[in-house]
Amino acid sequence: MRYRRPTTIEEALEILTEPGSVILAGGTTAVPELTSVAAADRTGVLIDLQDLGLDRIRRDERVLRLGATTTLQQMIDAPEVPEFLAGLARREAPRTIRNMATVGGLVASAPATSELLAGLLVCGARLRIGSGDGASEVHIEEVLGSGSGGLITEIVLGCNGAMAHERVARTPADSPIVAAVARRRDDGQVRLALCGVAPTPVLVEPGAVAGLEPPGDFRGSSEYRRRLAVTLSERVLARIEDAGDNK
Amino acid sequence: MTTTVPIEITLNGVTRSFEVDVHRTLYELLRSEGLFSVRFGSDTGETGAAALLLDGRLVSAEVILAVQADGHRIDTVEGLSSRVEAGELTPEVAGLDVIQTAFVATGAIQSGYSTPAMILAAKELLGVNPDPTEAEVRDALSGILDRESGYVKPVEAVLRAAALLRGESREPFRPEVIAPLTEGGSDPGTGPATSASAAVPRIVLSSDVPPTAVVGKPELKVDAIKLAKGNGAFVDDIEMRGMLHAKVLRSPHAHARIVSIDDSAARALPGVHAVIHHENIARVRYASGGQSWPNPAPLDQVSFDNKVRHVGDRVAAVAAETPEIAAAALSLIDVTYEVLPAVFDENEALAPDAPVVHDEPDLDDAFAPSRNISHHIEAQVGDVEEGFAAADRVFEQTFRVHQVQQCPIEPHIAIAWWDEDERMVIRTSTQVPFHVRRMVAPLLDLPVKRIRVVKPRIGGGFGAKQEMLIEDIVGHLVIATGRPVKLELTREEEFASSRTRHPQTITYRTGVNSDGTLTAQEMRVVANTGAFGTHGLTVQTVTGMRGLSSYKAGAKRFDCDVVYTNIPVPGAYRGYGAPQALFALESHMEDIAREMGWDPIEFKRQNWTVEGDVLDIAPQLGEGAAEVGPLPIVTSCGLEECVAQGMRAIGWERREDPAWREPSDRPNIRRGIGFAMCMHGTAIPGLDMGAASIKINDDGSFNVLVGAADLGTGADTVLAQMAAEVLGVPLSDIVIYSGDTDMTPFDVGAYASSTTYISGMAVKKAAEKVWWKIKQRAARMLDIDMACTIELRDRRAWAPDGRSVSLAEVALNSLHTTDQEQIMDTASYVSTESPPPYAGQFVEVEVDVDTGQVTVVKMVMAVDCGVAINPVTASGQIEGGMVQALGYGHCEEMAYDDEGRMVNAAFGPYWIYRADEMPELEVYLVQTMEDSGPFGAKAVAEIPKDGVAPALRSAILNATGTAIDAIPFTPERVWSALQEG
Repeated sequence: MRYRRPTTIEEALEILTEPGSVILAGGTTAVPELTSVAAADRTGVLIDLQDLGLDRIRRDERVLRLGATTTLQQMIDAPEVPEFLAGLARREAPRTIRNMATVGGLVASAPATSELLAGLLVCGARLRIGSGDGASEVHIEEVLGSGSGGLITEIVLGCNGAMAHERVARTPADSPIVAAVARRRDDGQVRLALCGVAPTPVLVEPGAVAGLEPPGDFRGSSEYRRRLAVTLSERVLARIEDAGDNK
Repeated sequence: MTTTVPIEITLNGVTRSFEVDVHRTLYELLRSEGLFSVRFGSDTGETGAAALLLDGRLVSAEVILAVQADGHRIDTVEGLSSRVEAGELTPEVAGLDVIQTAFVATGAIQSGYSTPAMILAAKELLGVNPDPTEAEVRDALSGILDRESGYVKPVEAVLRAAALLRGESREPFRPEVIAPLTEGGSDPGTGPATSASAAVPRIVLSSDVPPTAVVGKPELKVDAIKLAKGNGAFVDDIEMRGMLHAKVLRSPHAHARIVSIDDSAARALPGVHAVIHHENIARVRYASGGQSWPNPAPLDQVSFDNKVRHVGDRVAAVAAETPEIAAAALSLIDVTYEVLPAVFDENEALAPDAPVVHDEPDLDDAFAPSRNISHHIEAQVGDVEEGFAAADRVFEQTFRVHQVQQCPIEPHIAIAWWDEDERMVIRTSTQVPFHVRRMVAPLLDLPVKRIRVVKPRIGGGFGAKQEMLIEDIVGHLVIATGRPVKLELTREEEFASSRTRHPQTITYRTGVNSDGTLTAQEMRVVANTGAFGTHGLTVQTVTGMRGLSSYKAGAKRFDCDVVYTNIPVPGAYRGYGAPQALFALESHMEDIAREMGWDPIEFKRQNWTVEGDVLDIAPQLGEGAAEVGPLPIVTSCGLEECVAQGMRAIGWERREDPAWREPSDRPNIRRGIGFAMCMHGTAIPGLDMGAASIKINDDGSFNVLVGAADLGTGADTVLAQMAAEVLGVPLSDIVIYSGDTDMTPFDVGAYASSTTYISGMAVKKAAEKVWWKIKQRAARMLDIDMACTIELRDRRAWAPDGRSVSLAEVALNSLHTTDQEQIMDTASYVSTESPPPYAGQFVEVEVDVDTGQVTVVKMVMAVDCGVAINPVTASGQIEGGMVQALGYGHCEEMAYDDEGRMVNAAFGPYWIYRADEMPELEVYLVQTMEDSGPFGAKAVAEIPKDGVAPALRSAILNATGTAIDAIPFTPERVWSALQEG
């Protein structure tokens, strides 16, 4: 395998067209795969995004813009990021991993237990793919688990309104068996996202939670997960209602 | 075809250029450059053992490619303190910085394997935040898993370093003396006993303990400086020219016959030097458990068999030029399996039509292999049936305890080579170097005298390394290749193919009279020993011993089948059968009390064994053939004081307060407090043996050579403290070396909570012999007739008239001047007794009754370990042990699919507690004077494993009214139990 560290998005996009190209963000998920026995004979190009300058965080009145290579720890440390999202980023991984893992990489790997992805879902996150004239924007829920098909450069989300988060896990820092994140926008629109009920975090209509059929595993059976989804959804929805009423 | 890339890194301040393969991790690059403080934990980076600073940020080097670091700054602890200066070795002379010094000073270093990573975590944090909160410190350490300290003292070290760096002063770190509450002690009150930090051990002194100068003091660990500096002290921290790398092909099936193996393609791969399997390695039967000779039957293992009995079982091994080539070779070995039906549950394995795990014709020493029974154990005192008939009530209750793993952060690793004398040297991470030497010899067809086993520093063991687990493989490969060979298990292999805790189904039957006395107690156990017997007999013997010794009963009976199945192999795990027993026993006793309307502590107190009580079933459940003559009697017991201190510290009175238990502002939360009493053993009587040699040097310092194997616990330190105490010198005058079969006298090794008690007594006796020789020599030098009147203290030998000679003068006189001799001596010790340490374990929880989620808020353990030789290391043992025990009761679980494949063989899915989610921990050391132990000591290492699971159950019961008879208390288990009501 060859290694490239492009300095412009255009250059990165060009390399990305080569066969066998692989995007390397923080590497916390990709490196164990790249160094596995199975990958020893792999050919192609490894595209390291670190010099693209995509780790900027900007916020205006309407939206928060997270550069794709913003690390989870940068999200926590940045004053622009609302405390609620920073808290979800903190839950994502311990310090050693948060210092490398990027928000774009998290979107690309889409772990089922990611509460930050659930947070991005309820915040209506859109992914900016590519750059310049060829750039496009997609809703995060359209690509989770299926891949964006391109280079994510920025994640744009709204974060006004009331947010609530509930989870059940074996221990406080463990990944959730089920987690629920809800947001009530200033205009009254309510969104609910769940972790642990599908292969990736998903947006769920509040009325549809009781009908979920989550895949079970050793940490929680399907039935238990469904019951947790109902209980935790009720809790977060009640809390954002309260928050709305208190305004 | 691989491509190399030129990179430039500023490494500890020096700009360096490298050519690296794209696939190479930063971890691999730095290790190859001799930066040994960056250590392996797993390929996926979650242990943090390989953490370093990348541009000042703490990252796991196993999940970073070397090419990613191009153009960046890398810092490791080697860059903090490379200085080595002349003079007495102190933290200052060693060039330690403030953070490293704080880690040394607070007892934060146990094995030290991940200490460099923690020090760098502190460096990152304090660089941007000079005044962090405890929560911020815990977050900074969150990526470094610690299986040893419970994070208590590392957190203290960082807070202390922060204060010192801010220019504040701090008192030396030392235990806080607490007034006793029993036997005329003070009124308990309800407030905390002290406002000292939770890391400070609280110690309740006993008036009958004589004063000492070094023993009982919070001395700094003798290996702390080198561990804080990240010096190359572990197995992997050497470089052997021409070393080959071994990998093991492991069974994908839980139960299968190997029909054929074709290794031709693997052998043909360039860089492969040997491929070994059952067709080319002699079939020599053995049992892998590291135990005294003769190893308990059955000898049901061979290096490579024509049958596999669990997923992860050995099939073949390869030695090759690189780990990558070895791994590639494994994939080229063509194995044809005949897959057999498998059985995983111990009760199902006893069914008449169950698959037979061991059907090999040459197995002749298992109890009933055709019925999958490897051992059957019985013991009886009195007639239990009579007891039950006479009882007012008889209670019967069945419990299930599950399988967990020891999870030392350093996996099993061994490097072996032929030395210049053509003797085989095996440098291995083991708790039992002498057992390994004796056990591996017949497998390799080498006489014991041609083998040297060296145990350097090891990164935790917890029983997993009380095995001859991989040493035969590296030995075979050294013989096959003539080259040095290294084998290091991956984290996945560590789960699937090292050792675990025995699952058991335990049924108690107890006869109770309405006056609270027990007429009879019976314990029936079906224990799952997985694919091999290894520690199957002895662990279950301890289950019976501990399960039927804590309480007095008119009659007792133990009946146990140890059963083969196709799960990865259980073996020794800190606590050794006792945690299983005490979960069932303590839960059973509490439920009886509840059913009878009695206070659980009062009911237990009425029946628990105390000083002067006879341990009636002990002689039948000793290990091996050693039947101890008279019935052992408890000679010291601080349990009452432990319970009193623990009740105050946990706030026991809140247990009955409805307003506290049901907080009005959190309607789904219930709070509860639980208790368990713990009683353990100290070494195996009549069997465990330790020895020590001590010699004087020209400057009046001493070499202490012990066979004991310090696995990070501080054994070397407490043994050196005992030698220093006897010889009248400071700890710094003792140079201790341990665990090398060529250089030190024999010791059974580090297990059964024996080192302080057994090896300690050997050190004390050896020191006393040397002490007498010094006194005789000093008497001559001072021209005094009565050598017995000489006293040794402050590095001098004193005559009654006040004259003295220094020990250096004694040494020079004896070595160079007059009737020259080497003042040295050796002593051994074996004990006929096993005095029980006692403890009270308390746990506070919150339970979410709508979801079943249990949050552990606080744990308090008050332990009577006799006289703690070093209260700081002793409290560190308790903190770390309690947290491991919390994992057992709360969240750790080896989970399998229907084919017996472990589905969570990685940290994360297999959850061990992290620094940033810990309950509050508090430790009390309740002194008693145990006359049979060195300076009054009893064991401390294992008892912390015993009480957490039952106390957690007790707390959940207090909170919710629901009693659960299986662990771990994961959310779904608790939720299901709450649904059933």
